[in-house]
Amino acid sequence: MSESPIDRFMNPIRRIIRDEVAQLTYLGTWEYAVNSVNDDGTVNVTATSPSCPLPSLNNVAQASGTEGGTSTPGVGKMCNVRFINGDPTRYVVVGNQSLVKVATIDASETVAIGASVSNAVVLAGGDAPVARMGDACTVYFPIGTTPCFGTITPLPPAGGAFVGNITFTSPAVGVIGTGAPKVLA
Amino acid sequence: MNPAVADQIAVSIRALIRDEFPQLTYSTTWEYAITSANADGTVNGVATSPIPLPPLNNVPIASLVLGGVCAPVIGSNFLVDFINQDGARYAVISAEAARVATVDASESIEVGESATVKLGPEGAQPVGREGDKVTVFFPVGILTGTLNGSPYTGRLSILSPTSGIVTSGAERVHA
Repeated sequence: MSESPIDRFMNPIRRIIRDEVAQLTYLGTWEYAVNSVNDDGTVNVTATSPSCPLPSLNNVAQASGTEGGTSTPGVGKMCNVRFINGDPTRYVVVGNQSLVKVATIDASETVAIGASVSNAVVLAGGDAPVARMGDACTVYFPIGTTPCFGTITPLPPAGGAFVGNITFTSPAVGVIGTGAPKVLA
Repeated sequence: MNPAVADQIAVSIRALIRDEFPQLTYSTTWEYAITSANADGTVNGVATSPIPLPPLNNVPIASLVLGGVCAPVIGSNFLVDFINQDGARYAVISAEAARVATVDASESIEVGESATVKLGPEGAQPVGREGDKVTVFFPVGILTGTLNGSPYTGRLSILSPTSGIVTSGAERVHA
């Protein structure tokens, strides 16, 4: 079939536009599946969509995001990949689509978690307050009386040998004297 | 050039570009405002400025690299990305404000190996752990028995505190 006059005019324009915006493919967010995790924390991935024009990628680093977090995803799990500067050679994982195996938050000085929370910072699904250095604790003695013996001084008669029972009618109180110096709550 | 022909060419070029790059709209990040949140954790939102996209419903919160998700605040803004440049696959990639922030993993979460970690608004005192030292102050004890063979009742005051250790802790929270 012969080209119409419009087609003869438009087809070169179409090629020019395609050439000029070749990096458009690298401006989106693409879904990949994790094939394997490397020792350095990078992953090897394959695109999940048949329509994705991108190849499998190896040694893909993770963009930590503003929170300084990295993770170890599970093999076979989905992740999202973006290309930095629209450059096909600069790809990073920007997100995971399911629960990761290991999540790591780190910083060179301070990791602050929940400075604004009005309810609670919950660690590992816990429901009890974390104890801190300086917090009070209570020590309970055996219920009832406890056999004891010893020497009483200087109460009269001094030096007497005591044999009998001791009863504490209230528990002892204490304070936690040490703690993790780099975990503050 | 005949104006009618010029107009036809312009229309054709515009149609060509739209036809060639339907994914262009879905290649960037868009700002929406949350209108409501759903029970399954997804949100519904409308664009914050005139854009070529409709309101979106049931938008899931994409977990970032860390594995974190959040329950955002209604009325706050969030950013949406389209996966694979597909207009039907969208996800929240960033929320302006969160009511609940969750970081989770199937094996472990490691926080601050290189840093001081501050938990909660106070964040001032070291966290106590199993094995940490405690100082115990005794109450007065009541003595009842015999002293040199005679009945005796008295009080025992232990003036110096003794020390102990924390013997249990949260099994899955280590510091």
